[in-house]
Amino acid sequence: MKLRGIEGRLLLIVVLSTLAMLVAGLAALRALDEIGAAAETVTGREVPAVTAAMRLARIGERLQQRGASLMAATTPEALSDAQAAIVTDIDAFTREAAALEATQSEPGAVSIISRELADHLNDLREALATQAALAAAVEFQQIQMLNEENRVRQLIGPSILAVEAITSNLSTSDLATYKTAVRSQGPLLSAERLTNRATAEFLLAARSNTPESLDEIRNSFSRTTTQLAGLEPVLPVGLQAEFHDAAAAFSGQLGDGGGFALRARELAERTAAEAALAASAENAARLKRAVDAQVLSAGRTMANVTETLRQTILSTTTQFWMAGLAVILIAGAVSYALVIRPLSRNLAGVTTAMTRLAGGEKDTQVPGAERRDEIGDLARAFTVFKDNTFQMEQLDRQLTERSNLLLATFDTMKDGFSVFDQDRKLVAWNPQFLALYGFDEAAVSGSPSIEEINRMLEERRVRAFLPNGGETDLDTLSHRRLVLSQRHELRFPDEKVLALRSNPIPQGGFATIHMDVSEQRQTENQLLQAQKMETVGQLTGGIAHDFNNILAVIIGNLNIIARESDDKPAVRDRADRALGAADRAAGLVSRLLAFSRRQRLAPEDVDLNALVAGMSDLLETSLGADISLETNLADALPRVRVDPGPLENALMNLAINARDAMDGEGEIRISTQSAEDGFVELSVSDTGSGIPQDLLDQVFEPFFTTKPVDKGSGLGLSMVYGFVQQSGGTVAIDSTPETGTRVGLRLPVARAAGTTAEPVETTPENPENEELIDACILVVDDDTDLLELTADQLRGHGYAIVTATDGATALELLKEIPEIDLLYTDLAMPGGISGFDLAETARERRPDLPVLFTSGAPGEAGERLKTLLRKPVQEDVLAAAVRAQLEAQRRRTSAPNI
Amino acid sequence: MSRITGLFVAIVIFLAGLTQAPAQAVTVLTRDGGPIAGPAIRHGTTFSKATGTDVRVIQRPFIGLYGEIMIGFVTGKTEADVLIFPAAWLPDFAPYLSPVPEALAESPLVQGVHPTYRDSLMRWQGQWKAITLDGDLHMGAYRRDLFDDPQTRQAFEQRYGRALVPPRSWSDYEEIRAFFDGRRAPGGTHLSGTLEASAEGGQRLWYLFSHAAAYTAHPDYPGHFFFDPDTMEPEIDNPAWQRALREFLTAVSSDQGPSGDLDSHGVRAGFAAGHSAMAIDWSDIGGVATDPDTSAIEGSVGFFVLPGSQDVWNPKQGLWETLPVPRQVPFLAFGGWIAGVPRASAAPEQAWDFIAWMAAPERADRDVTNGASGFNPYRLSQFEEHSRWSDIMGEDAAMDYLQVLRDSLSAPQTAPDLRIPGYPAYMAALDAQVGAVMSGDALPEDALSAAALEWEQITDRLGRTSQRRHYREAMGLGVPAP
Repeated sequence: MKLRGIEGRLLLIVVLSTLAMLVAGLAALRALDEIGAAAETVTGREVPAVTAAMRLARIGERLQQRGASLMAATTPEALSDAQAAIVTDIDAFTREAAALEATQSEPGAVSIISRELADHLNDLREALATQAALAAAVEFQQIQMLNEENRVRQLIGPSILAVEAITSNLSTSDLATYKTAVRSQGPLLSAERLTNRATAEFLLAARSNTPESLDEIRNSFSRTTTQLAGLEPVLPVGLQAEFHDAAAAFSGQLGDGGGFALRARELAERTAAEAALAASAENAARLKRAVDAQVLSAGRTMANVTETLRQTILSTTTQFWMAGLAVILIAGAVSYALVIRPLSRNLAGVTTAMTRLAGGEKDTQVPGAERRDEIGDLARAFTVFKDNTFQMEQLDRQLTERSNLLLATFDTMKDGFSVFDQDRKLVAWNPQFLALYGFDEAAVSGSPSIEEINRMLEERRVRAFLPNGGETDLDTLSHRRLVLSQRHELRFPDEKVLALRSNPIPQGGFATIHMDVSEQRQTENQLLQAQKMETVGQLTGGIAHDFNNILAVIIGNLNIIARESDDKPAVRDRADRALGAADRAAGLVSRLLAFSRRQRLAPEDVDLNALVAGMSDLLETSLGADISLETNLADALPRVRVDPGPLENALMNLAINARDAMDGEGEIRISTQSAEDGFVELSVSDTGSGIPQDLLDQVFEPFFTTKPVDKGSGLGLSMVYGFVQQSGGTVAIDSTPETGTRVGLRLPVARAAGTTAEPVETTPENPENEELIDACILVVDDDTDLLELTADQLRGHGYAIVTATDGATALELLKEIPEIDLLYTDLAMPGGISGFDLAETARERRPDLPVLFTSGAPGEAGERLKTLLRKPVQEDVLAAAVRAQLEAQRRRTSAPNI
Repeated sequence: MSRITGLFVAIVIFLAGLTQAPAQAVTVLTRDGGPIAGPAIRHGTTFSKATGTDVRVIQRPFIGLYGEIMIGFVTGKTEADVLIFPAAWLPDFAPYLSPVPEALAESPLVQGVHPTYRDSLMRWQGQWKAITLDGDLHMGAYRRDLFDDPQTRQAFEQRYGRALVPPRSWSDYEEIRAFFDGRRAPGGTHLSGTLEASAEGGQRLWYLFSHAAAYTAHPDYPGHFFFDPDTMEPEIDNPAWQRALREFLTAVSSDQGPSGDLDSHGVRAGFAAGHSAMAIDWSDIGGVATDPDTSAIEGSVGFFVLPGSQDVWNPKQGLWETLPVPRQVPFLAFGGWIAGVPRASAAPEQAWDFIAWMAAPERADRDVTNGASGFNPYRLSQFEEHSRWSDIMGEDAAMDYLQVLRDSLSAPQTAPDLRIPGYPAYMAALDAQVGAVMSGDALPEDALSAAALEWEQITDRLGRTSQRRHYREAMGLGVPAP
């Protein structure tokens, strides 16, 4: 705690105020103590005295009434009650008198009178006590009398009854007995009567209230007992002794200790008591007057004391209040000066600073920060608060921006986004999510569960697939998505594919990105198909290339055999047949090469409609009468750049396929139309049985056919495919089972003339020029059989031939033999030096050296060569090409010489 | 007689002979008839022979005996030296009687008396005033031959659905009475259901008391038999007494035989003659009914304790209550005959000598086994000496008889008779009212109320406080509250 701080100041003020109030309180207590002492003086002396005096007076009055009760008491019980009440009052009076004496230093009038009254009352008490004892003795004598009476009754009763029984029933007694009974009953009855009378008289005496009446009853009782005693001799002898005792007891009541004497003394004592009571009453009256006077005096004294006390209390209270008020005012002033005012000012400054801060003034300065008290702490804390507020505001703004960005991202992102909570209820989604699934807002606004979403998807026949391609069910996926990162696809019946990436979220549930990959999947499928076709094409081309080499050897040798077997017709015939078979094989290879886009094409600008129209007759003939052929040719179509021969073959193939698909009856429609930029489409549609969807991807593969085993080669559509592809177009096939199939060929529109490479003119020209006969030709081929054949064929035409099986050897020979006039080389050769490399190196040494190339699968680079002979090379073609090159060389080398 | 008692009597007689020569005559006053007076005469004869003192027995009718004795006392002209009178009169006679000599009171002759009879019959207000000669209680007798007869038993079972056995309650008693009343015994004798005394002066009140004893003996309120022991107000007019009176009247309505109303002697004689199936009587009936000389049914007699009741009157609540089982309340009816000596006797010593002679055990034992003596067993030995009784009654009857006596005396609820001054006056008042009812002059309830009123008057005349004290003592209750 800092004593210089506000708390310290306030504490100091409170301590000082408390001390001041303590001093004032002590002063007040002292004053009150004085007041209490004064009051105690009054209450301790005057009040008890007055109280005791008043009680004495009240008891005195009551004793006067007691006297009347005592006089009026006629029964022993009433008398006893009155006596008891008087004795009780006397005891109370004595106590109160003693109490009064104790309060006074010297006896006053009340005390003196009380003392006299107490003496009288003691006399009264003694008289009453004596009277009570005498009354008890009289009561005892009454009981004795009654017992004696009972004794006499028991004594004489049975005899009386026995005698009465006789006297009352003369019929059952003899007369003598009766008379005896009558005579004898007199004393018994007299004894009974006198006993009753004596008892009654005694009881009356016990209740007599005056000596006179008592004397009168005593005299009567005396007469009765005398008579009773006189009966003794005449009573039955057996009863006399006990009767005598009883009669004596009766008479004994007349003696000094008898009931009559006791009753007389009791009455005398009662008279004395009444006299004492009367004297007491006089004293009581005086006492009352004295007490009244004392009460009056005490009342005045107490009034004076009370007034004094009131004044004292008033002054003391006033002083205390004033002192307290002064302390409070001083404490308030000091507090205001030292605490409240600075506190208020600084708080106002802080408030102002906060207001300005709230208004955006960031450079607001808080006053009082230099103070070393709580205000200073507050100002410094506020400064820190202010800085924190600015930082918070900045962070809040950034957060808002990020949040808005995030929301905008979610709303505008191309992919769908959804969040399911730990109860697997959909709790968040973006518009794209709804769009991807085709849900409306109402369907998901009720936070449906993932199971409900799955049901909705199942109703739409959506199927789920794992990344490995295996199909799974949606509910199993939902369970996994809660605990694991999960990727899967949903495939819709309309070929829409959604890729889902789910990740569990820490709070439970999972978030999912829904990406529409329909186009990607379609593209991938197309790419896959293209790659497959490319692979098949490369494979097919490779085989065809090798097969061409083989065919070239076969055909070449057969030609030699045919040429040299003119004299042997049988051999010649077999050679011709073999040549025919070889030619068919070559044709087959040619179609394979067409598929693998390795056939030699001679593209030209073709009027497609004219080409179709030109083939109509041929097609109708080929299709048969039951097949109707319709053509639907668009007007003003641009020409297409294509080799018309293969195109016609392609059109024929398509028509034949259509016919075969229609089982001999139906309609074939051939249409032309403009397609997207730069293309014209030629399509062939039929109304046949169609092709199953799962087979559509395979129909362009070589040797794939849906026809019976002996009806198709499986190369028709392959050749079409290869031809169109090689021509720069595309092929599309649509087929609906039981409805029909449509094959569309998109062919490139022709561009400006002259841009297309002209094919090598392979038409053999005329026969050997004699000058060229001795020319030396270097033949290079890694296929030694074909190399040998080719060498033999050229030698047959008179040329000098040197051969090499690889590029290095060929270069060696070129270097060694400068007479070599022409280089004839295969393009593809092992050993690191291809036909191109060989030709290039040879021309570097001999720039004028003519070069002919040959290849079974020349590729794109080879296609551009003008001097390329496609294997298998017919001998005449080879001879013509050699001759042409040699002649051209001779013209170049001889011209300067002309 | 024991040797000590015999020696004592001999000494007394010897001393008397020495001191009182010449011997004076002893006059005995008692009731008339064979019972009581008979033994006095017999023993007087033997006494005279033994001592030389003549014994003169004056007999007076029972109804006038009390009055005569009392007149003698009152007039001082009692000529009797020995009075033989009912114990209940002792409170009235006590002032006129001399006390029992101390030697006699302390002798085995007195000490051998059954405590029930000794303390309550022989003393008055702490003084020995008389010597008892008799021990009275009421009991029941029945004809065993009838009760054991199979046809009779079957008939009874058919009518009442229970076996025919001696009654344990007054309800059983009434059923059996009604069953036998008017039937004929196997020998053809016309039967009464039961016999109880109903003749005026024939001690009929004690039969009424026997009926009332069970109904008034509430276990929680002892002593509420004749009076309220707290207030000395009569209770003879309450419903218990009314019921007892009605049942008594029903019982005596049985055919009493040719002699009409019976006194107690007639009851036991009629039963012995075979006139009834049952009888209620003092224990005299045992000897009379089993005496071959006087009984036609000897050998066929059984005895039962006085019947009881399951219903008992609650005197405080004023309602009937039902006990778990019937409770038999034996009644010491009349107490017994006692002998005393008037103060006025001229020969008191001879008089006491004669009384001691008469009460000597050897004579008393013979008297109590003689059904005609009027004396019943009262000495302790008389209840134990089974052989004496079996020789007379037969084994079964003796056993039955003694068992009933022992059970009656030992039962804690056994009711004592009234014993207060004025007893004859109380009895006379009640008997007069019962007579009025029997003569059809009054209804039972009214008669009992009238008797109760007279009882109140008598009580007051004799001093209620003393009467209450005496009554409580008689009922075996403590000293009354002052």
